[in-house]
Amino acid sequence: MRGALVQEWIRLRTLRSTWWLSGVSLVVTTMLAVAFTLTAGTSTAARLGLPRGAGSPAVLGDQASFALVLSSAMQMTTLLVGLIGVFAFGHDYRHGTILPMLTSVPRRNSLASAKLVGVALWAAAVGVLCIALSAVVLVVVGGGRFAPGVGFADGRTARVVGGTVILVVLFSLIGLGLGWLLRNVPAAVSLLFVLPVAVEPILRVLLSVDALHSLAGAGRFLPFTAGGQLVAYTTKVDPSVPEAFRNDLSPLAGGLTFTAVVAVLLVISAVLFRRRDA
Amino acid sequence: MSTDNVLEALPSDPSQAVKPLRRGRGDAGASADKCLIKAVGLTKRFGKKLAVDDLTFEVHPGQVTGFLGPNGAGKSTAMRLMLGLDGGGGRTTFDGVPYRELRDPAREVGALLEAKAFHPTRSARNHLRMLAAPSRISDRRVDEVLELVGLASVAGKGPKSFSLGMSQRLGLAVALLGDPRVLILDEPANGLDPQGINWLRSFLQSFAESGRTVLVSSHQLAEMAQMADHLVVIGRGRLISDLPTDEFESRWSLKSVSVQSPQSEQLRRLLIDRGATVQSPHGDAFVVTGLDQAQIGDVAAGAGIVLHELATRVASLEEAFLEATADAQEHPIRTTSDLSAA
Ligand SMILES: Nc1ncnc2c1ncn2[C@@H]1O[C@H](COP(=O)(O)OP(=O)(O)O)[C@@H](O)[C@H]1O
Ligand SMILES: [Mg+2]
Repeated sequence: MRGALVQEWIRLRTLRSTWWLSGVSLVVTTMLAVAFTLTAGTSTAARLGLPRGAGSPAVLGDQASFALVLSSAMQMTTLLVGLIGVFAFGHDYRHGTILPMLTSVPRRNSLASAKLVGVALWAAAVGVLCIALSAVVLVVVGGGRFAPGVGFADGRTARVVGGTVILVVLFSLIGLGLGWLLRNVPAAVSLLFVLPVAVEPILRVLLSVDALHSLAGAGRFLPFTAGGQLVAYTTKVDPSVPEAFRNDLSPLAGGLTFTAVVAVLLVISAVLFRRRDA
Repeated sequence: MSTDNVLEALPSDPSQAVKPLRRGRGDAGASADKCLIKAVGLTKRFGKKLAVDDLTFEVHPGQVTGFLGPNGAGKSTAMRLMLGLDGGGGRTTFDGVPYRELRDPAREVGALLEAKAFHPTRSARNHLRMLAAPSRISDRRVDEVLELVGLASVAGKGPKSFSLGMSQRLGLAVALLGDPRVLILDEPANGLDPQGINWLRSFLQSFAESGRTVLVSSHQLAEMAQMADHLVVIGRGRLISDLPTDEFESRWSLKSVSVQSPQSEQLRRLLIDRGATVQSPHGDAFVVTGLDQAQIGDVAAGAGIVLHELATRVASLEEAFLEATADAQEHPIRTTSDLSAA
């Protein structure tokens, strides 16, 4: 198992895509953090329904908008790290390297566990770095933009930070599961992007129509939607969000829902991996 | 790209590259390092198609065993079954141990299954290091095998630009990483130029001479006949013959005599009376099997028949091979034990 982990470490490190995707994650997250910091006041005003524009008093960012900056990684890093996950098995099936890998680590459980651990740790590291960069942005750009008392020392903010890392890791694993199950990089990449970005929002809109009123709450449990609650600062419904996209699932419930979906995907893939031909 | 001059880097004497077998692995003395492969009842079905059909054979140490069969015969599938890569029937053991249960597989069995099994931009060296890691094979050994297969000068490059021959050699480098006592190579000569094939042949022969075990597949009999001491021949997934190479050759190389005579009708009748088979008559010429050159000459002389040509033709090995594999189902299995019983 130790050998398989070393192998996975080399596999990750020696793929250009790993570095590209991780690097782009850090850059994009930093840019988003800057944008969220500069607009902290505006977004706070919008959320609280305060008057804005010429003549109205300047609004400073509240703790929720501070936490939003720290969770910038949930915007793009999740998907990019999901790609790193897709490639974990996807590349090996695409390029045939699964054969020499399985001859060097014939126990399939060991090979799979090593990939899982490797990808999850890498994703966690990228997530932590993203948060660190966001924090640097807050320190450098955030001066004077947040209300007094707003800062890092806040329990709920700490939870958002933890939730961000967990969300990034879960995305990497869902990518890994899709590549593992489908053994096809384009198909897995498409699903990774289309499910959270298009399919779930469409379903949520459909579920919110009056005819389906009794089902309206079910939309909250769609996996990516539920997972998104991991980074929610508050479960209080935000009036600036359209009804179809409001979610009052607690971070714990949302996180567990998403985790369960990821786990099911991984278990199915693992069972098939043991059965299917290499 | 400078892919062509790489060949010069092939070590001139491959036998130098083969290390002596390790001794004192603990248990069984001198034979401890020799590995006998037993494949029993290998079977693989793809839907309705039986790709490998109850295939049983052994691969002995100390010689090169050729695994021969036309394209689609089931060689690759059988090798994947042997290494536990595909699910199917049967059991293969390496000195009694199935592949999946080997403690340190890369140091026991080196395998080359597909030539281009690499990521196009991961350098050859990193590819090898990655595959060496589970068996704790050193970076020094990685550079050693790169040198050995003549890829040292392109070790830092992504194999995207590698020719088929270079890819095969990278695959061979993977197989050799653990300095294993068994090699299982699927069509390693594909894409090699004649020089490369020569090199491979002498490498495998000295590898086997050091007491190790080699199973190497090919669909080309001529190539195998030069490389292998023993041939396991399959067709349509079934065993056709399991014989030393020279016995396979003599068993299957059909001799015929081509004859030309102005009195060809008369001679043909006489020969048929003597039990010969006459084929492809064409003008004065025809081909005889069942009687040898001297016997035909005697018959002709006895009847006062003039001969214009009398020549023995030995069917090429390729013809023998085609004959042997043509109708796999209809031919009985021939093995060494059948022969010695006869
Ligand atoms: N993954 C697969 N799915 C379906 N049929 C296959 C598969 N792999 C091989 N076959 C079939 O099994 C037979 C044996 O193939 P193979 O082992 O590749 O033969 P060889 O290596 O001797 O050329 C062929 O008829 C081939 O078409
Ligand atoms: Mg083949």
